[in-house]
Amino acid sequence: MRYLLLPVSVAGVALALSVLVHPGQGFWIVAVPATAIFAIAAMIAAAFSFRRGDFMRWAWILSAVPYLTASIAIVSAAVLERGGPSALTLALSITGNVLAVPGAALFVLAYRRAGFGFGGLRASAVAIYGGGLILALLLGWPVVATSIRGLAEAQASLQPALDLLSTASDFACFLLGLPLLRIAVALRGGRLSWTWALLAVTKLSLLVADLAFEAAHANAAAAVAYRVIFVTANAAGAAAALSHRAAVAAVYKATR
Amino acid sequence: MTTAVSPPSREDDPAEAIAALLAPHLGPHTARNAVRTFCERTLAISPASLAWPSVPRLVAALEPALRTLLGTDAASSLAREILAWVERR
Repeated sequence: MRYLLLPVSVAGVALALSVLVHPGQGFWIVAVPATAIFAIAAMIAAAFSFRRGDFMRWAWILSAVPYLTASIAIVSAAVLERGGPSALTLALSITGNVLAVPGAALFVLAYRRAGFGFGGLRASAVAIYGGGLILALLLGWPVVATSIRGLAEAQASLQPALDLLSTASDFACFLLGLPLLRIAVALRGGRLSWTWALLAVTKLSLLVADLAFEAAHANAAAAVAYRVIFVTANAAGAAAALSHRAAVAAVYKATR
Repeated sequence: MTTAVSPPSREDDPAEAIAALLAPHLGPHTARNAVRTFCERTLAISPASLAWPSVPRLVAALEPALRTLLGTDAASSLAREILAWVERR
């Protein structure tokens, strides 16, 4: 339960600051990469609680890469660029978007590879997949439609293609969030359940963030929501990694 | 403080006992499911038919699966501790 405190606290602080202080763009250019760097540190720490040949070490390292590329891209776009994204920002964004999907998939694969199965949790599976797919259509379609429209109207610019790639990656991550949530339900009551539950939160929040981003141009509340969701998702990623590291450490502690 | 291997409540039933030992990590549902799946897959028996002498084979089969989620060292540590508990009972 204590791992939930981290994303909840970050969300609370970000929301309170947004409403009370109205921080400018500069604050978010620091806050978003700062929470991402915290997530990277937690994921690297989780990775190094496993041996080199362990499946989970690579799952955590691969999961950390999109946070790193996104942070550099945000700072680079804010500090270095005038008049459109540079080749570096585009390359980093593409790398991050592409690697976010296998990073999430490895955590689904890990449970499948373990072979424990789900045994009779059909009702929760129907609720998760059914509800999730409806949400994916409701949340995803407006974002996908905007990206496709942007691509159709594009004139010699890579940005709309990048937006579409980002949306497709977020959509895929959202869909991978559904089996992650199902695994978390199967593991409920065990130390490992927090890792999969918090990972599911990070993946499921991406489409909501995209939707808020679409509305942010015309709606101030959506602009706040987008940034709050972003930093909360980063904190949830960090909490997922820390909970996994703690679950492994707990085995050593008790069996020493 | 919770321990990695806490004494199971039903010591007379090996399947229930192993599931109880795995439950702090995998949760009670997946722990029971893991024991059932590996009893059927490795020993070709139902969990109800599991006898104490077959437990080391079951634990040996479970260890690689635990390794995927907990890593090599923690999985072998947990497997060793479960076998030690079985020896002690």
